[in-house]
Amino acid sequence: MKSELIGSITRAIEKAWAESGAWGDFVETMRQVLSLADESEYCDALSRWLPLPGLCCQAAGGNADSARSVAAAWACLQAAAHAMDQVEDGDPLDGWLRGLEAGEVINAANGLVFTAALILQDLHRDERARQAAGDICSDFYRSLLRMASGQHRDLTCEAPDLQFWMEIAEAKSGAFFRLACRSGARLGTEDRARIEAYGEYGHHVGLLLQLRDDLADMRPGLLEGKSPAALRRSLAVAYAFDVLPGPQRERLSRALDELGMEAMAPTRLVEILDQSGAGLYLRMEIQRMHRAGLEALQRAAPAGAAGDQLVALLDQLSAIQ
Amino acid sequence: MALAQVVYQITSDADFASRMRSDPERALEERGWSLSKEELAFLVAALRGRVERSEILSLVERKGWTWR
Repeated sequence: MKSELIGSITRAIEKAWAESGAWGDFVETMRQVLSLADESEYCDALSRWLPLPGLCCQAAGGNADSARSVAAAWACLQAAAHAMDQVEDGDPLDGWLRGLEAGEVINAANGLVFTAALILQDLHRDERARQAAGDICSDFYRSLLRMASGQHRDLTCEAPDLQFWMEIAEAKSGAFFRLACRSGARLGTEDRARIEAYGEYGHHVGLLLQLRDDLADMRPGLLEGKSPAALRRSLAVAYAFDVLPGPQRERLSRALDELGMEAMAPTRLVEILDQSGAGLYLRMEIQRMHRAGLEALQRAAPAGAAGDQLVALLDQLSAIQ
Repeated sequence: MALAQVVYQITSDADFASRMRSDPERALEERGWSLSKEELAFLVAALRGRVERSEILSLVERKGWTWR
């Protein structure tokens, strides 16, 4: 079913490109940035979350198929944001982007944003979606501006703290998953309270994903290659900087600065985080977000198997035992 | 953020951690801190659970979904 969804999303995107008059070499670069055909961990993750708009639509009482345009637009925006993030943050480019210059990546990402806008126009022509089309388009553009605001703040803040982590995670990942769930639900119901509740569920999915991504950055072997600035933006490090007294905060700062230069720095960093209680704090946050997501889903009153799948997604994402 | 302060105090102050195990409401009140019922329940359950060799590494090593 997942591959069927990817197939139909790919067709919608290819159709938009074919009708747009975009040149072949540019389309090929957008295809490379979109990476739907790639077998990477990222593509695997993307395909896991692409059913979200359809599931929310179905759980809200609609037909999952009517949310395919929303899923296609969302996939384009995710790929665009992911690629732009790497260039803007100065991170090494993902494997499937290698060989592209930074300018080419940014231009293709812009192309994907416009592709998403074109695909959303299809909602106005779809009888099942026409009524909701205006709301969904506005929701997409507002969410994009909010995410761009979050990215701007992220790029310009020099001393991130816990409050900052929450604000940025809400504005970027939280807003993005809120959008997927709210737009899907809008296609299944007109009930504002339920639509908002689905959005709230998505928001917590987004926060959990951000937290898990932060943890993934600390995997042995990866930690050494991370920049101190990027790690300072992870929840564990932001927590430790917030709670540790001066001398230990300086030790933490040194351990971060020595990553990649001093063999014992990763071990020291993990030790300092453990001593600060960061692991326990993260476990508390995971449970809090999981509970909040479930409560939102309860308010959304999801119907049938789609509702069960939404619960299962949240459970899987929060699994820490 | 109250939760962060409480977690740090538990980690760095053995007496407070012990008080949190035996009478969490009182332990928080004495410090002038408050947590939601839900946060308190999570924390008390975690304190009674198994202590990992490294909490951070145990979370990092756990198989779970990520975005990238």
